[in-house]
Amino acid sequence: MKELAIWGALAAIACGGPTTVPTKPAAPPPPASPSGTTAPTAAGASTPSSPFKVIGEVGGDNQLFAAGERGFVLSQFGVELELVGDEIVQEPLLKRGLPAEPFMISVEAIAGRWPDALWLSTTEPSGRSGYSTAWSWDGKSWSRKQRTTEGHFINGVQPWTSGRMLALKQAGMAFEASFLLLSGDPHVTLPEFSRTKQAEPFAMCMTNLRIDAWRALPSGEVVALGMRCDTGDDMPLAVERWAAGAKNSTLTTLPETLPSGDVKSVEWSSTTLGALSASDIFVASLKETTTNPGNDQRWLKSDYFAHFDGKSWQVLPAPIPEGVSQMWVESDGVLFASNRKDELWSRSVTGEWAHVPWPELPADAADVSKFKLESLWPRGPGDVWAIVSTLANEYGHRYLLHTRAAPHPMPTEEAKAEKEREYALPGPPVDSCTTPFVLLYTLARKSPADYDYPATREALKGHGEFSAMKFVEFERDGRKFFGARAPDFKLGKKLAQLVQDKVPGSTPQLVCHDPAHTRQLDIDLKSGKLRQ
Amino acid sequence: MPEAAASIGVGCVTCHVVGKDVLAGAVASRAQPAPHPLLRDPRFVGSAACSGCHEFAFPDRGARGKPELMQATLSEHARSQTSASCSSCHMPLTAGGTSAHRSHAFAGGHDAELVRSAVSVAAERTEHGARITLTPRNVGHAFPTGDLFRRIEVSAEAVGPEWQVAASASRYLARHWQRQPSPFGVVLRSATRDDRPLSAPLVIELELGPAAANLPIDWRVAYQRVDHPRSEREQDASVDGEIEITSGALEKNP
Repeated sequence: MKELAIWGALAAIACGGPTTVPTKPAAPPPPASPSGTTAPTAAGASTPSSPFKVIGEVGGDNQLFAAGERGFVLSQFGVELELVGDEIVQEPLLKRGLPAEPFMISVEAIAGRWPDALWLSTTEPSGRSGYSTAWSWDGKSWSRKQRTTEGHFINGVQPWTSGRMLALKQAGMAFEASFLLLSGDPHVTLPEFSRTKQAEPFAMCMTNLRIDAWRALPSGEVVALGMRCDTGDDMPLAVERWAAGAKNSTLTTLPETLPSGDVKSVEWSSTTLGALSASDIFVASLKETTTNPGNDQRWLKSDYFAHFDGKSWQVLPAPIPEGVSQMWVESDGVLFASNRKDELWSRSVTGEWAHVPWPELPADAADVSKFKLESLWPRGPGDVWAIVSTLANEYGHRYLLHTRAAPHPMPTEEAKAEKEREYALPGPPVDSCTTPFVLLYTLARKSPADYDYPATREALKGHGEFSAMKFVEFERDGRKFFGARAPDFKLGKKLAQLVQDKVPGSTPQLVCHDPAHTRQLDIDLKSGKLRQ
Repeated sequence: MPEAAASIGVGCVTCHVVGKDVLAGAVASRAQPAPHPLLRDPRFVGSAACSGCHEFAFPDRGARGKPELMQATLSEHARSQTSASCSSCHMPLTAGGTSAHRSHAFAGGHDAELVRSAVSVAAERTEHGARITLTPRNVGHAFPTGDLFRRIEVSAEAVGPEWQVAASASRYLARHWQRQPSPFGVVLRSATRDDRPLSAPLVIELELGPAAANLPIDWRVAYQRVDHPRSEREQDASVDGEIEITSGALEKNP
């Protein structure tokens, strides 16, 4: 699951891709640790079958999110699919309320608890930067609730204690972060980030940490991981932790993350957090060091992996080959991790690591440079969803995977488009509308199926100017409607007025609408008769 | 036992097994003895035996100021004018096998004939609409009873010369709920009103406006099983199943 709803470079959740050779020697099997980390099962030792099944192809920018037990496949335009149990469901209602023409707005994440505390975040450009908006699902549509100030973005919403929803707001460039309570009982102490001594209005370093990953635990503790900025030019990795109900935190610089010896500087990327509990936390990052022995400057990359046991941090060898790029925690305590080759590994509750093979994809994904894990959602034991992509051709493909078979096929793109048309609400008759429509009648429940509208045809008789109109019936929520697709609103208005004048009890409305029709009536406007 | 009930986990043991005993009514209705020991108790054929599944509070009592019933069919039964037990309607004596016995098909909200027999309906025109009267007859509890998601839709629409709806109105008879956050941060459902017919006739006035005065009016009463996946608004409900109780047409005013 994508954890951060983010702006720009922060958006990557599982960044694979080639990297330089790790400088550390091959790690020996790690010693038994309180966290139970043991050596992994070799990825290539055997080729067990994958637990994943390919459910179907999804859109090119689709990502997985979760709100409690319900999963969502999001595109930048909103919710494309819902994951309800093992079913993959399209619910066009879940796009309602968001801008109809979202050219400048991007849906970033969905989180919370379905259906009573569901939140969605979007980003929009503004000036030289942008801002985030938090939208709440009111049961009928998304409604705009909060927006950040320019240059600040919502970086994830997570369930917290007693049904509360906690969000992280962070500056795009500067070190400045705070938590927001989006919903739930407000009588609670919010965790506050420790602030630097030079915290001035225009300083870049306001809070000590710039957060790469964070986690609110059901027990109330909050953990944030990122780079620390109050240590001069060096920016080591640090973790800020809040006890349940605490406002103030404990900020800890992680061991071996400051430059030492001939290392001139250290940079961090792919920084990720896996918090099994407040006393069982893993962090991983890709460490890029610049050494300067004499004038022979060198850049080296190595994997960083550390564990917190509730008392102290301990650096451990990377538990899987090719480092840990991203981590996900399953409800039963199983930890999933991906590496730079986008392989998936799982760590059991007893600490054994095992490779989780991907299934054979419809397109050729054998070339790892063309394969990418886009997002993962371990909903529960034996119930893991993933979205992976391949670049088998120049356009690429993205697939939804699940560890259980789907009871029904995933909706096709054509079926989705048709259903969206079916569900689309009529809009106002604005100039930019490309589908002017005259809604003539809502039909009575007992109207005959083959009714041919004699009074309407009589009104139209001799009005050849309506020859471009398409008279159609369509259905919605079990009711039938009769209307006309119009080439433009000017002609539509003329038709509406004519029918209102000639057919008693009618009040036609001009709308922007493109319904999927169930019947089309071919009316001879010269005679007013129906063509067969 | 109906397959639909069995598929959601309702089986023989749900009612008949308490502890180590197999419960049964005080009087044997079958000639053949049961193939296992029985604990016969006259209370087993009384309404109280149904309370475990049809009268209980919301399970979130800890978050509520005071408990609230999620299902209240036995309380409704006590307030109704009927003296019949639950089983006399929902488990009628039926022939079959070796002797007459109580039906275990549990006729209820999915039985169209039983649903339609619950109320008699009369409709008449008013100046600008319709008056629809529902009189409970073959029902010993509020109608509809049971879970939160059942209601009666009473609707009328004035029909124009092209079968178009010139005006419409509807009313939903149900326990009406609202969702509100509790001090504990979780959202609770609580009842705001209850307008289901129980024992007295219920008169529903549906106002359609002047546009309806010279038009015929179609009216309809339907029993609906609804879900409120998105909000408690009556119009937002998704109708999962429906039984039309009755419908009719009222001619336009002379």
